Amino acid sequence: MRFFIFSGVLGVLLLVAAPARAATALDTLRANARAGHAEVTALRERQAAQHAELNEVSQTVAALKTQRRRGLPTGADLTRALQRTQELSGELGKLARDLSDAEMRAERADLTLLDGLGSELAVTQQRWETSPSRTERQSLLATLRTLRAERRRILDATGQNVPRPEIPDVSADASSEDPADLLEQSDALRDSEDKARERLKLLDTRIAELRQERDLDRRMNEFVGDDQLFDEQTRRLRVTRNADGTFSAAGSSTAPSADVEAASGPARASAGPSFASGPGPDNASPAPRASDHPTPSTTLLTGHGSAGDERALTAEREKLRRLAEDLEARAKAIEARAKSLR
Amino acid sequence: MKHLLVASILGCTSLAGAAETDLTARVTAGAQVDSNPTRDTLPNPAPDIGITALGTVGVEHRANRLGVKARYDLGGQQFLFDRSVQTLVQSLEASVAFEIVPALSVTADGSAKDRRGADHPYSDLNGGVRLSLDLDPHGSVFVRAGAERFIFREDPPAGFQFSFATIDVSGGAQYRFDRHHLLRFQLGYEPRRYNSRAMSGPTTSVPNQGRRDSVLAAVAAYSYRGPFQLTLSYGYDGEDSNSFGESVYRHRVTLLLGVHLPWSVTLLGQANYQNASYPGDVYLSDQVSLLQDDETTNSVSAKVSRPLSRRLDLELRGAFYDAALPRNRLHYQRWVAGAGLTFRWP
Repeated sequence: MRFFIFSGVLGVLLLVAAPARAATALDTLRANARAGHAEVTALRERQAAQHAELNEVSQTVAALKTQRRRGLPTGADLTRALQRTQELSGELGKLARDLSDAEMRAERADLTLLDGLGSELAVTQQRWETSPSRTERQSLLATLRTLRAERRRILDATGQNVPRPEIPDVSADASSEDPADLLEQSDALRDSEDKARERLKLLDTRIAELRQERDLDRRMNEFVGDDQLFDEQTRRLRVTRNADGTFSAAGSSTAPSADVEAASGPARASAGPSFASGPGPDNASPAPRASDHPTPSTTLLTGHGSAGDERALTAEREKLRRLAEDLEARAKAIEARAKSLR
Repeated sequence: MKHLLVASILGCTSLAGAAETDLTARVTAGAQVDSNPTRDTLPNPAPDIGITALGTVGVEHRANRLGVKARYDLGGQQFLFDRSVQTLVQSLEASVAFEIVPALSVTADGSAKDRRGADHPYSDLNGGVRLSLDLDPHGSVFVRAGAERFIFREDPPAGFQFSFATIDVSGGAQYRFDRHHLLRFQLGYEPRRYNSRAMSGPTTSVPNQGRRDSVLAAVAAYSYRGPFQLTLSYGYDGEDSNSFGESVYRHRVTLLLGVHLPWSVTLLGQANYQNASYPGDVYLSDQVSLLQDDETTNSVSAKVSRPLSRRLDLELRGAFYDAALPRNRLHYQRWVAGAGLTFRWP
């Protein structure tokens, strides 16, 4: 009995503590990212300062050298300045290495933070969708916006491209009577629509690339295939039998003489096309050809080839286009309803 | 029978679900200067101007689990000064692929090629069945078993002795690291039976039996596919014959390159380097007075094309072929340069 009570209490505690733990974990990631950037900033500042000092000392060295050329005494100043130049150069080299390492660490911390933000967004989104309380939904929506803004800021700063931005399935509750609530919902729908359109752009680029690749494929196949059709790669050696029983290459000034030629003689009495034009292992054309036997497992059926890829991407594009249009229509409808309730 | 075949295919298609069919056609015509139109090892071959035309039609039909593919080529070449050098070649290839279960598919294929003229007429028939298995989204393997009949038609009936029949078995694997990088390996074996008797050598004697060659071929290739396309391959082709002087081992390296350049220009290139060795001496049969040897050469070829309209391309082509036969003090060389137009539909 005691065990059940203990388990129940523990479960409740864990449930209550879950968002807090997530926030703490995210805060740790944020802190790590901030620390990484702070280290980079500090190193850059130090680098800038040392660059400035190096410029200054270099100017001093130049001035002292001019002074020496004019026969004026420079004392130990020139030696000291030269030594300082060397020291600064060494330190700057080390700083550049440290900076590169720190930048790498900061980038890694950013990526980890992006992962964390993605997970937190998914959880918050889920809670927003299932929450029955309007107040809580408003609060969650605000959190969602903040998290998205933070993620966008990091993406912009790191120059990270989002290959497949997730498009949350926003199920708006259009039956609400509160205009503010409706506008929040419409905002979420617009956000999803933006993501769908972002993904559409990426798909368009990829489809254009695939079409170019297919075009090049087709031209390569034609180029190699035409050569093979006309047997352009082959040569012929005509060997005629002389009156004395020896053989000679027709038209040749030489006379490879005797029934038995030395090794590497060319007159091999084989006229077969070997694998060059046969469909077996193709030693003349390792490139995929239109005339190759189709490999349904890789091109026709499962779409691993570019044609299959293009078809799959085009289908996905069509689906996304419809989704974006649907989201837009729903957002418009909710906006209209919110307007009429005001 | 034909009706039955068509009905079966259509039946399978309708069972398989939504279907797509692509039809393609291409016509190429052009003229070229050829330094060695007869492709002989003559010291000073007479250059000639050749007119070439080629037509191709293809069809590809896809359904959920079925793929049908067929292509027919018809080409001809006529030289202006030496009218005897003319070639007519046609080729038909077809295949039907069916996905048995996800990741496992079977393909039946067949091809026929017939070449006439230019002292090198032959017919080649080929067919087989291939089983392909996708191991995961990156890797796949296949095995194929087939049969081939090659008939050499030059100088009948003596030339017929270079004809052969064989079964062929092959297998291979490929691994696609990502959408850019692909590694491929293939191995094939053919036990050929020639329409001739095996010849004895000066120190070896072969009992009265037909010529039998064992052909082993392997190719390993790496391909890159992206803004440009590149394939580098190594091929080995070993032919062991029971007939004296008929064995040969070849090593071949091939580089293929294709790239889109500015101003809508496309550059395609191909380079081959070959090293062949003959483990036994080469025996010249006294049964025939004219022998021919066909084998590939070292070569470099390139084609540049630029679209004149959506369907019409202007093409410039150049090629150089070279094979040195030092033991016989023979040197084969040929270069070709030409221009043409290609019309594609759709």
